[in-house]
Amino acid sequence: MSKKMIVLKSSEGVSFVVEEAVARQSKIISFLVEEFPDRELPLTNMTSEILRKTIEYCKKHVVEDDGGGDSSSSSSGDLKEWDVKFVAEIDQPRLMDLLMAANYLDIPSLLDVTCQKVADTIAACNDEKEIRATFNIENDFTEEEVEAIRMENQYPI
Amino acid sequence: MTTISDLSRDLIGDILSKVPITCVGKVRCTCKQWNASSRHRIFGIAVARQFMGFMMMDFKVCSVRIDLNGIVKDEEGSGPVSIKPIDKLNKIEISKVFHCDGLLLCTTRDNTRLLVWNPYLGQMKWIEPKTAYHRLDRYALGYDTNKKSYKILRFVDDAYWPTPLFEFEIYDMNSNLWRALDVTPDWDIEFFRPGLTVKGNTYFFATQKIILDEGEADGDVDDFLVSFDFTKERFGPHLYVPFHSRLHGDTVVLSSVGEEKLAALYQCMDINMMEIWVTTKIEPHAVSWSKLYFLAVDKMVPLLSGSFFIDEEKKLALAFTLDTLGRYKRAYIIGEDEYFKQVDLGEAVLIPDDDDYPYCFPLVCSYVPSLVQINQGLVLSGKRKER
Repeated sequence: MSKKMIVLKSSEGVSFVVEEAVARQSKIISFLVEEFPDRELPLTNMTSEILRKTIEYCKKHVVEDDGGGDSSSSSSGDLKEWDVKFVAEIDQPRLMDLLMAANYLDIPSLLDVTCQKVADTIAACNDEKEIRATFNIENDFTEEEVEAIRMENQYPI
Repeated sequence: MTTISDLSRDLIGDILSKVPITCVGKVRCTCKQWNASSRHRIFGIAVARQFMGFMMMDFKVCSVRIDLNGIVKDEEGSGPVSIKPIDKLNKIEISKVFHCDGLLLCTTRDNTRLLVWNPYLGQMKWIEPKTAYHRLDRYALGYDTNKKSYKILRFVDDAYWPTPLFEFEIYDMNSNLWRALDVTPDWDIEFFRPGLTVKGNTYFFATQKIILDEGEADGDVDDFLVSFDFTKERFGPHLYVPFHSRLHGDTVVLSSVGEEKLAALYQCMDINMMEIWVTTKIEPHAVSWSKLYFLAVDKMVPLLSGSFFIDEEKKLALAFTLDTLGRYKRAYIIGEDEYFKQVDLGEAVLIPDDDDYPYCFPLVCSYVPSLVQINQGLVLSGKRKER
């Protein structure tokens, strides 16, 4: 029996044909497939680039049902390594897009690795100035307010 | 171009919950939204998927984060277990850590000072002794009803140390004073067995007091829990424990499950068995227990002075201890269906000049962030006030 395919359409109108098992890692798509079988699913808030990345992740993480029970296509150690490399290669704006896509499509594992990558980047910054510069965040504090927080978080040693 | 500012408040909260607690200062200073999200984080919505705690390892205070989702899946390496020394405390050698309501009580290795630390707020306070601390001191941190006052219990009871030692004291963090307590204990609490605070009161594993003058002890004495009620400032009655340990060799360690339950790990040295019990009710005058059955222990080493925590939902226990020779630090992960994993945490620090207690066992305690303010007084700068 051939594998069931479904069609996902990006905001630019580009169609992606994917195996249903791959796409079903998204709880939203899983729901939509059941509600609207045999329909093309438009994802109007996702660019082709981000959709392609998301599918790439889902393909790697799909659990194949070969009849003899569930078996992951890769070992968990390899997968973890692959995840790290996967998020390391993405620049920051696209990482934010991917994080939002994971959230929108409800793919918990992808949301987890993207959030972790952002958290690691924050932790690697030396101070709040570097965090603001790295993430292009406007400083909406006055000097006094920053000083007040610093006082609360002061280490006397 | 999408930036981090485009993310929803929830997503920002998810991300910030993954940043180590020790980075909280710079995170809060970044912008108003992050400051607010970072405060929300203390209600623990996003941290539920991981264990967060602190530990003393090789006399350093470290933060511990364990990804409970990744723990069983991960097969090699220490993957989900992340232990990081706290930079801000790296100049101080700490021998014990004790958690209560977002505050950590740390004992310095030289037994000269006590430190109370709120890692979330970054506040610290040194607690000076009335006269002196002692290396055999037992300490506990708790609070009275309505959390009006946080207090430290300190006691030492040893009839045979070069000279007999007997001191019971309580320190009130509002008045900054030590007061003597009038206690006549009919129990012994080993100094290497820390107590545990649940809902403000501390529980210790204790054994019936042995008075050697009345003949040789046969090594088999009553064992029970003893509570210390921080409101009444009194020790409570003997509380039942669902196991019976011999005086030497068996392991009994306490841990907490969430903020309301106490867990006790009992390991018998002879027959290679281990039990973990969790309270269904715990008050200074009453306790009841239920047993957990998810342990594969035939590969387990004696935990001795190790420490542990459990996750009831994931049915996992994690124990931190030294290997049988005391050379290497280890974490053991024990789960359902005979799941067993050993994580190597490196060589343990040697204590060359201590024959009595040459091993530095890692000591883990769970942690729940809180906004409890520490009255900093005059010791803020780290300079000690001379008396």
